[in-house]
Amino acid sequence: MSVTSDQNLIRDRGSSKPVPANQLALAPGWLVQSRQGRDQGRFYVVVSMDADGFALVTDGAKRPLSRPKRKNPKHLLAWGPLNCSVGEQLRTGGKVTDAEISERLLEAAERVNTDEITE
Amino acid sequence: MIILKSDQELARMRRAGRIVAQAHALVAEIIRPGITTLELDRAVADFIDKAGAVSTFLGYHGYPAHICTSVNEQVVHGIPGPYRLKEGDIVSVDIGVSIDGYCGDSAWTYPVGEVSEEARRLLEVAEKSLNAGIAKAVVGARLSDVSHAIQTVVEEASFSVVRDFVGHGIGREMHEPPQVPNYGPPGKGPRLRAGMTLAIEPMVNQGTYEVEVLADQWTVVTKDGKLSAHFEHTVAITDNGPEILTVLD
Repeated sequence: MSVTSDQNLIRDRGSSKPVPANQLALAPGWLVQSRQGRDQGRFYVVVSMDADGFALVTDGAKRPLSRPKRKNPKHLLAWGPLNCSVGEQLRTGGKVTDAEISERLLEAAERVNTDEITE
Repeated sequence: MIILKSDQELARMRRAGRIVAQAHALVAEIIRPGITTLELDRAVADFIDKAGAVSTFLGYHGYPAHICTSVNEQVVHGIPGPYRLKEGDIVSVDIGVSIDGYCGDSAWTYPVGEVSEEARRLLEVAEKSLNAGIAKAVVGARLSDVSHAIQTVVEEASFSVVRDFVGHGIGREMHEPPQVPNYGPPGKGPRLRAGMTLAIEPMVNQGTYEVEVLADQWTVVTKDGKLSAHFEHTVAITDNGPEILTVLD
């Protein structure tokens, strides 16, 4: 029995050029990449937005769910909502583990790096 | 995480695989114009039960049958029912069992009686693409080498490969990482190692690769209503090359 493909990790792959995250409404479950700071280039997924409009992001490893990093959206590139169980869980407030997050991020990062950034 | 299997685990998967293959042998024997897909389901369910195994499909995310029967434009996950197979149909029969905690999964598309020339060619190409994919499942290759080999065979024959559904790792669970797409560039994805077990399953369409899911939430059909074929084996990657687990002795 076949499985539904996770290959479309990011929705709307056709238009998945990254944009600075302050140009759109970030939401939980989005794949983002740091563009400023010591963690430049690192991929995260958005856990929530705080009252000041800052994003709380996790990579499931150095920055686990229990201690997300607070980032200014201006300093993030937004790749799009993760189209997989991790993204879904974060959007709906369901259960998800750090291990799942880091695994999905690695996959997503590989895909966007290899497929989408060929300019 | 991709789970590598020990020799002992592979022995159990071989056993599960053999039961799946025997169930397919049974299907090949009884399939004919006039038989309903539900009758196929019952026959296989009976056989699996007698073999001391269980269907991994029944109850999977609520799936209501023991096998999948996907007729003509149905790609995969067709639910057995009152439909009577008729001369000229092609039907994918997908069977998965588990025994002693390990799974086997295999699908075959059967011609019912005499089928059209084009249907026959579709079946040949789809089966050939599965074999091409399996041939690339060797230690040291990358996962997408398998995918690429399948896509190449299919597209050279002017058919298309379904994107939205893919093969998968298999072991204690029917579905384990990694996903095994049937398309893509070579040289990507995890490197294959001895002890990996994959269900490689090209779904090959006569027309567009786009598919839709029917209102029953299971049956996947081609968007343009043209034929689709589906072949699948559970394969172990070993130091001696790929070993098909879902075969008779």
